[in-house]
Amino acid sequence: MRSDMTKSQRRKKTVNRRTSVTKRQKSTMQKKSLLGLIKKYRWWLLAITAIFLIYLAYLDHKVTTMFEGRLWQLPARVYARPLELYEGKSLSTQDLLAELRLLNYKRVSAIPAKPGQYHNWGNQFEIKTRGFRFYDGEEKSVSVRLGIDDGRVSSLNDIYGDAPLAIVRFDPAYLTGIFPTHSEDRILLKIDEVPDQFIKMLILIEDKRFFEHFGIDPRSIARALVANIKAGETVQGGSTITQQLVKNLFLTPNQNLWRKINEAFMALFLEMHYSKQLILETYINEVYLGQDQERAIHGFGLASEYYFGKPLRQTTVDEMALLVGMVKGASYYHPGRNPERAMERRRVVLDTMADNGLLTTEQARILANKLVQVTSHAKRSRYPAFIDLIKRQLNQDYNAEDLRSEGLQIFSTLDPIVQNATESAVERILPAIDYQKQGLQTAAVVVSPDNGDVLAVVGDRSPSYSGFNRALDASRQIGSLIKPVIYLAALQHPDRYTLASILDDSPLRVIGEDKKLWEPQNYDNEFHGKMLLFDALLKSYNIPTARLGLDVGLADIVQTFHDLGSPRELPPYPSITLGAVAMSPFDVASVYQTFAANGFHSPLRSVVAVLDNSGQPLSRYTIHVDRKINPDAISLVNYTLGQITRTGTARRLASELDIPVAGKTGTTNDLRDSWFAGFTGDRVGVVWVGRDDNQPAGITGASAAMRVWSAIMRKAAHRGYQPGLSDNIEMHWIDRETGELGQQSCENAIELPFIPGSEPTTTSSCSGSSSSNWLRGIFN
Amino acid sequence: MMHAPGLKQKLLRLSVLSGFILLVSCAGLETTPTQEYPELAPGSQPASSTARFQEWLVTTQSMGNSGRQVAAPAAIVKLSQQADRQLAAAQWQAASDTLERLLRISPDYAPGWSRMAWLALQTNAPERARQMASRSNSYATGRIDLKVLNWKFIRDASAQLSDKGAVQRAERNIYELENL
Repeated sequence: MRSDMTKSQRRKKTVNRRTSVTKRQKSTMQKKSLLGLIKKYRWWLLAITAIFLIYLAYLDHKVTTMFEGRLWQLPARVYARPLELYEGKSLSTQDLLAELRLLNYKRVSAIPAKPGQYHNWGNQFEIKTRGFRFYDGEEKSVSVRLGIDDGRVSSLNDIYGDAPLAIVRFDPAYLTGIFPTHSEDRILLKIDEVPDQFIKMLILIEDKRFFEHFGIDPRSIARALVANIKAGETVQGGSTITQQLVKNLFLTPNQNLWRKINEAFMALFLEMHYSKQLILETYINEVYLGQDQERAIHGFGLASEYYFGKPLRQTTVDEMALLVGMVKGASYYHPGRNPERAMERRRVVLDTMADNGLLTTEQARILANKLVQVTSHAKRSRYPAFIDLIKRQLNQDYNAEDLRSEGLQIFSTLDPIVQNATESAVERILPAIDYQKQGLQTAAVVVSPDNGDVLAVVGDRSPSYSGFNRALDASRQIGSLIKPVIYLAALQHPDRYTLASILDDSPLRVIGEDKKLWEPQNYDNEFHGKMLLFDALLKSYNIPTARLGLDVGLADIVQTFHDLGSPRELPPYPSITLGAVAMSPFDVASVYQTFAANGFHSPLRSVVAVLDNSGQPLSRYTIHVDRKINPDAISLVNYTLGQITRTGTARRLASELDIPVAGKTGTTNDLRDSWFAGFTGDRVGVVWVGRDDNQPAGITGASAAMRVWSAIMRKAAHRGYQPGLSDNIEMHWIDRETGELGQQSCENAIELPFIPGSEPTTTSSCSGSSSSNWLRGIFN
Repeated sequence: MMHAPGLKQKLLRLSVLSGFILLVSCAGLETTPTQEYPELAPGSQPASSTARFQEWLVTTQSMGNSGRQVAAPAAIVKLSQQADRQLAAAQWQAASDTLERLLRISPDYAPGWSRMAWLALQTNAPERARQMASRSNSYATGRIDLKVLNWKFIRDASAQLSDKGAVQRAERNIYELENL
């Protein structure tokens, strides 16, 4: 038994020895074969290792190059003119409230404690303005108490000192951005501008071990893996803030293994080269937080302004929690569209804060029960026609790419009060004019007469439509709007023409440059015989105007038109005397601005200054004035334009408006175009109404465009037009039938302005006076 | 772009200053020192002459503008004074911004346009100076002192442009206004 066992053991030992030898042999053989393989494929292995290292170097290079280069294209930010308040300023309570809404000021029920708040009762306001860095310096926040009486600011005092304030400048309303093609928008924040509490909250929710890991966090990945396996689906992510940033900045959103590997390596490289502070700052500016129509909201700086109308440093804890919660899914937790989900997500964030000692449980409970309140935003693009004008004017100095990507700050001349008045006039009046629903279109431009600032532009009967901009691009015959130019050209020769010159309204036939017969007609198809030059313009008669224009000379008219600031050249054809020249409303406004400013032309401007992203001035567009027109002659024309709105073709305005105005109607052949161009003391407005297909629309200047113009000025104009007759003008009574000097008592007498020495030298017998008629009646 | 003034420019300024002195004298204020306003380097000088210049401005403001009610007296005074400090410190761009702000709230304020003319002369823009002075005159109805000043700006700017005809016309206007 023993010997058997021994044999057996011996056999086993032998077998074991053999097995061991075999294993050793196998192992040796395997080593030899592996070494052989390595040896055999060593060049391949070397090549693969080299490629891998090169690839890592490439990723490293990509991370550093992109991170140190320009990470983002920053859209230009366009601002409206800032509202300036001072005692005596024309301003209604409604307009101030509208401006405060546009500025996202929050109404409070006590004295406003924070910038961007106001308290209002009746016509009294208490406002704490926001400070703002303008192109001409820093404007500090002030607490102001003001009263409005009878449409004017009646008092303006410091809330605390109760001392009168001379002038208060608000921050300018943000209008829109000029966006890159991907339409990302953001307001960049420095890490020290972000509240500590916000940073703690963000790290707690998104990456608790952010300051401990090196770009990737194996513990988080393992935890997420277990949670996902348990749930059978992806319920938890293990990405660090660094990985999220890498994904957003450098990679596509595709979920695949290759991308995850790249993400991990790039996160490591990012952490290797840059500080945690910089990575966190970049993340805070990069993260996607919602959509505003075409515009993508990126970064907490813009998100805070967009959702709450204030900078991040002014947000409350519950607002911060909402923003942090949105990182998980900006659309899903959108507080405007899905307030319940947003509220629930905010509760999760607040509870997590309480669990980690950042809040007490009671505080978290109270904050979680607060209603989610976000700033409302108009669901339409703001002022597309005006923004189009800004882009065109800036394109002269900046290339389009810079406008979309350099984060420029553009200070425009847009006056929201005037723009809104213009838009509401168009939206209200045009449907009434277009009762036949023939698809009438319109365009309107309002400018400041004294400096050429463009205050409002509307390019469509739906002002928010951003397609064809008729204010700038519609080229339509201007008809009688040209007449003041013809009369001005004549009156610049006081030795030949005065307002009392006699013109002939009888049939006129002219062979034009094109050898064709031109035979103008009056609007009423009648001839009115002899009349004063003043009356011919007052009643907008075509034939005497054409005759006058031909007498003055077409070259003179072309020159006068140019001197008035027209950007268009006129062809020297007889038909130009009746407005057979196509212009846009914007170009017409350029000419009428010169009339309104008594001959001083200021090029129309929509931008006053441009700053770069850091607030350094790049361009100023300062005021220019240029007078090439005889001021006395233009005051004679302006006097007549004023009379047109009282007794002439636009006389309805006298009853519709409280202030004196001046202007001219325009109607083109077959009633295709309706125009009105006119001015008050503080506004110049041009309105066109017609059909896009240039077919007859059955409207006149007075029946369509003038109605829109009147509605605009009722809200937007505050100062009446004073003819501004210069020292060099004298008034004389004129016999309207003969054009001779008359007397006030004469029945047909009219008082007209003259350049001294140009008045008539002969005196009328006053044949038209009531007394002489009475005597004549006795003798007859 | 704002350029540093040359010798010719300085001489021109001297002559413009004489216009100010004359004006202040006419307004019955104390005698203006002979120091030249535009040569006030930032922080180097000005107190007395600036104060007198401002005194003159306040006088003109209290006189109203073209006999009309001034829309925003406190705001105008504040911005005028701010512009004058900037002019005194040769901060041309800042002064231009302030004057534009002033004219935006009160476009018919003739002294504001006059300052613009003055500023244009300092920045070697004579054609602009002529236009701004003309603009000021268009709002200065009944304001002989201001008109005289503006015509002096026009005269000096025209001289800079070698426009002899315009210089003569300006001289004639100054003479006529001063002898009304």
